Amino acid sequence: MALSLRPNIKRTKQRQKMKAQPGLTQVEKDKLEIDPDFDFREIATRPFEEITPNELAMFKWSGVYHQLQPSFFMIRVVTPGGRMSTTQFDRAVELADQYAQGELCITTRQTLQFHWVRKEDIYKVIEGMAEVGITTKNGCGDVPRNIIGDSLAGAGPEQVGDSLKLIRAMADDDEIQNQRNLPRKHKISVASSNDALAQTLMNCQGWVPLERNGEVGWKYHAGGGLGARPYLAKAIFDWVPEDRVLDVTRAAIEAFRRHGDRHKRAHARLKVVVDTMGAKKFGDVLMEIMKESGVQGLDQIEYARDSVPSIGRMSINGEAVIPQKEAGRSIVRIMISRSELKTAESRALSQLADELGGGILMFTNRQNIELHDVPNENVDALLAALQEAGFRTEGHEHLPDIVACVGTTLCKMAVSDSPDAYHSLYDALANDEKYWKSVGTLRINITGCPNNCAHAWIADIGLRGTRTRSPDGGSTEGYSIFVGGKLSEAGRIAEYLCDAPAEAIVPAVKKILDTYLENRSSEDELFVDFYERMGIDQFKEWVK
Amino acid sequence: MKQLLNEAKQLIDDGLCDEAVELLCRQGVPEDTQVCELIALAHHHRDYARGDVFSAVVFASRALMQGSTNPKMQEIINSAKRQNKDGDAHLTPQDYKIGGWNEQRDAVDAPLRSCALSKLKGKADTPKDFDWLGKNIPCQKACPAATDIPGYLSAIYEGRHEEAYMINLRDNVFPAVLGRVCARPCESECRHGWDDLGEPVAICFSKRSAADFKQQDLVIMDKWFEDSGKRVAVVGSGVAGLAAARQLALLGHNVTVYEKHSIPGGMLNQGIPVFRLPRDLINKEIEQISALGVEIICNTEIGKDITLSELTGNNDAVVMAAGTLQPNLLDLPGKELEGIRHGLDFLLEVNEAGSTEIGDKVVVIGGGFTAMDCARTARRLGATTVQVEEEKADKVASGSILRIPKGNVGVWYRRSVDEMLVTPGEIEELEHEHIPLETRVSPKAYVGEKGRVIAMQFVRTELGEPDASGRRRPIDIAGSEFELPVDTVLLATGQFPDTRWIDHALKAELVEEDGWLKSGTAFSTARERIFAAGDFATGASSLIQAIGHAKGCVRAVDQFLTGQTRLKDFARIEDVTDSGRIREMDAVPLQPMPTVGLEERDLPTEVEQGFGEEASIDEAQRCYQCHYKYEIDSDKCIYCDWCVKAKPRPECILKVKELHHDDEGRIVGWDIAEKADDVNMIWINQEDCIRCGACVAACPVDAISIQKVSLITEPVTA
Repeated sequence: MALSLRPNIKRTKQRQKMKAQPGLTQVEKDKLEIDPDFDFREIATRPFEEITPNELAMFKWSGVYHQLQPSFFMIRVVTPGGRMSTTQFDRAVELADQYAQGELCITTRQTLQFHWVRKEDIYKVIEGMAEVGITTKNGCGDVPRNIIGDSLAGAGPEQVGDSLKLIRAMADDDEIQNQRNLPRKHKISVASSNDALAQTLMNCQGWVPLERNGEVGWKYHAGGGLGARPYLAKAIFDWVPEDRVLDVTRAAIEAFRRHGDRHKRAHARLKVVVDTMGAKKFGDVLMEIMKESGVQGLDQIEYARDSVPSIGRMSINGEAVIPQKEAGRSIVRIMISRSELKTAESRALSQLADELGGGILMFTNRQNIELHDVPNENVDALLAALQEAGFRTEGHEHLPDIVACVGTTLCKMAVSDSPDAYHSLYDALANDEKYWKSVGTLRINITGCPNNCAHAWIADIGLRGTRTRSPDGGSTEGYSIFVGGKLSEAGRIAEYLCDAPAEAIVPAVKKILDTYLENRSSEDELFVDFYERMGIDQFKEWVK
Repeated sequence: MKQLLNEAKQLIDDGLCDEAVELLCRQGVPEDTQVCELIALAHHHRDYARGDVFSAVVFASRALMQGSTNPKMQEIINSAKRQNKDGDAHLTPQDYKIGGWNEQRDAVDAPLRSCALSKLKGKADTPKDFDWLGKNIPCQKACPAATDIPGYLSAIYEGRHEEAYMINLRDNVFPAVLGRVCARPCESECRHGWDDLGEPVAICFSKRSAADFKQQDLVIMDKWFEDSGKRVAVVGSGVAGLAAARQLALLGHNVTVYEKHSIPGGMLNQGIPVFRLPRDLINKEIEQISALGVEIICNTEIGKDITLSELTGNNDAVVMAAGTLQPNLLDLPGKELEGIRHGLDFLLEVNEAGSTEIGDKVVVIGGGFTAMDCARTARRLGATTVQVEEEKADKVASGSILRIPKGNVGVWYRRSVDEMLVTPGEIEELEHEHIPLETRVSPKAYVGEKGRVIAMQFVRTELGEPDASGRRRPIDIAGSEFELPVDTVLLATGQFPDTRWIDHALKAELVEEDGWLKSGTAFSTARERIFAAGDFATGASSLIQAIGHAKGCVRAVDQFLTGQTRLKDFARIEDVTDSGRIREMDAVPLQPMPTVGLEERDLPTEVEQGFGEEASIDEAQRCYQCHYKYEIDSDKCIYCDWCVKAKPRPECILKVKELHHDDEGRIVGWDIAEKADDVNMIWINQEDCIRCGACVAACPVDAISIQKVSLITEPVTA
């Protein structure tokens, strides 16, 4: 029997006739009947048992998630492009200190989460953040989520055009942001250059800038998405003039609204729509929708000659400091242990960003923080201060830079304790500088469940939580290990290699890496290229 | 505060972790050291729910940071640390053998004891397999003829009425007939009718729609075997006799059916009123049997025109399917009075002659099929008093029941409605047709005048313990006697097999002194060539019971004639990628059966008009399709619980520590696991599964297979 997962198999038998069938699933009914803009001051006074499970699920539209521990909630804010001023960050830190057990968590979509918030305190956090211009609206739910890009946005040396401008325009666009009843969540990425860093291929919509004869335009991708059944985006348009980007983005959301399968949540996302239609047809649908709404200048949009994307390779590979495009300023990159920031650490960081940086924090999709606009003359002092405060700046995009979700610590969906796996790997391997430097560029992502919040599908080595049945009774927590994922060029979904019990993931990962070290053609052959050369079968053979 | 802490401690001791934490949070953000200590302890104490270990660590750490001196706090933190083993990498390839909906299985033996069936695919025939079929397809199990109900309902849903008819024809011989008058034991077993799940599917009416909308006029089955050269005589052309004859013909035998009446059909023609069963349908389905070469000889009475001994001598086997034609008459004072007659005779006369004499005040005694038919027939027979509602006068057909005063026909039954053996819906039709039903009244005597019955004496009853029939026994209530004026009494109080026609030479061997067969309900008798089928063996029952019995009997006859078991049952297991069902289909309401208005109800007009084609499809989509088996491959499963979260029933998906098996390998019980590490498998309890497919949709790793499991009977040759 074939062991590979086959995510793209389509359900075959589609019955035509379904007359007396009621049209809506319960979730869809809830979305129509329950106003997602809850008054959390009222919720604070309402007894918990009087909140229906349906309402509880709709809290998500305000960025509020019921936590695994029933007395507590998680709140996710929206930070378009991942940027926050220190003023905003300081407020988050204060609120976390007061209401969230003094901890903030950085997400893989470049924003912050509060955990351990009581029902009675939800509104305090939401209102507190609103006072500094940060909303939680559309933090979760079947809506357009936080619009991301890459952490170099607005600063990186290679950037083309102004991705932040587009991100802000999308975040401020009522037509986009008031789509509160989409078939499923919707994710948009806007890159600052043709760089895999922006995760274009795993977003529902992905914009990549390019320059032609001095004019900036955008290449448009759609239909990416991870989750349990991953799809990589297809190129839809090779060229969209900058002033048509918002129109296309809105049209894609409208196309999603019209064509997403509301009967099956697992098959509802835009990735399935695009996969079913194909790139050309999806482009046609967008054009049709734009025509309907009277959008002019559609003849300037060029269809993709090839639907297979060609995303540039990751431009950063471990630098602690990156010179900005703007002369005299730099980006300083800080690794945050397991994405968690305690109050004291946060305050220290914020103070350094103010004193030595430019007062700007950028959350990265590897759950780290970059300080932007650091005057070059402050860089050394900042690095020294960071080190003194206990922050790590070395090892980005290498073995120490592990992404992990909250796993079974806080999340209802999780199977495995991914933070525990993170710490095991980190403690065992991240401090052996010689070793991880010899391995070179490497991304390990650990996700606690198939929802893949921690993006195991696109990592060099992806771990996904599982349990394994023991023949003698019971079952053991563990991980399914996937290898070879990437978001550059046409992208590749990592392929299944093997399972390992949670207790043995350190030797397991080490075995994979040692195999790589022994067999790579040269020190310059990256893990991702080595994988491409060898293939999954050879890997399976090695780890047997 | 102190009180709160004490209450929280109590809750923790009682194992109520969530409640304790909720209480501790009620005062404000949990930041007090003692509060944090208790939250840590609450989670540590439970220690089996996801997140407990982490929560305990978070709050223990906070407590320590704030100066807690509770030694337990450090202990909690230390115990939470997972120690990584060095050495062996334990890289194990996932090795699953069953797979999900997107895999194809091989026709091999089941690799695990936990598998629902003995094979992964193909044909299986162990007790475990048949047990699964019986428990999981309760409608088919309840059908004495083992009709493949999910099979034909899915065919109807897909608009293939022809195929649906064919399935019924194969399994129960008379689809159009049974689609109207079946006792439908299947419907009371239908999962859709279980508590909180709504109404059973209208299985019977769906069967009718298959017959109504098929295109082909006569449907002739292919024979299973070549001509065997064996001759079999069947005594009686009721459903049992004809079903036996059909099966024997399919097996290649040469069959002759003997019928004493002028037309074949038995109770179909002689007992069941035309307004429930149009006669052309009976004739057509009998014609489909004749077309297989079965010879039906009418007007020939065994025991009179030819003896059973002679018949046995001329044939290789004889099947006695003579029904139950001997009425059970109540042995009450005044039983010789005029105006008292048995209901079967009454129905026979009306069905053959189109009318009979009947008084104004008719009492039907009994609570079964015959009682219902007698009452509704009597209601339709003309009477001298005509009471027509003015506004409906024009529309009222001659002979309509509206021409007869309300209340002049009544049914009187000694037990309660619950004990009545009637077709579902018939009691409602009685009421609809203004026929009063009086239960818990037992007849005691007839009162006569000038040789005619003028009244009946009854006593009221209460119900005692169940009797041999399983129904509660009526007990007379002393002093509750009363008298009811009547001029016609129809006795629908049961009937027996009439064995008087069995000739003397065989009687001693075959018949008990009380007139019942010595062989009881068995297929074979003491005389090796003579077999018994249907009501003649079992006593009065339903059509479908008689057909089922006849089918069983034929297997015994064939075994005798050929010395082989030529029909074999299997569980056929097929891979399916999608059941086509979604959960919302369960909310489709039961489709109503259209009926003719009271003003049109007369003897020949069929009351139930049948579903329209669309309604038949809507109704069929309500079927859960219990022949689908959803099974989780525990080795592919990652134990994420998403199916458990999506499940519609409390017991349909279970986190099991261990399954219990009996000697035959059947799953007979299970232990539920509480701690995550104890969960050996997430297991679909198929007996509680309503086939909604929500688990398949929820499963992120496609670990759930869907297979169609059907009971099939196949001709096999040695």
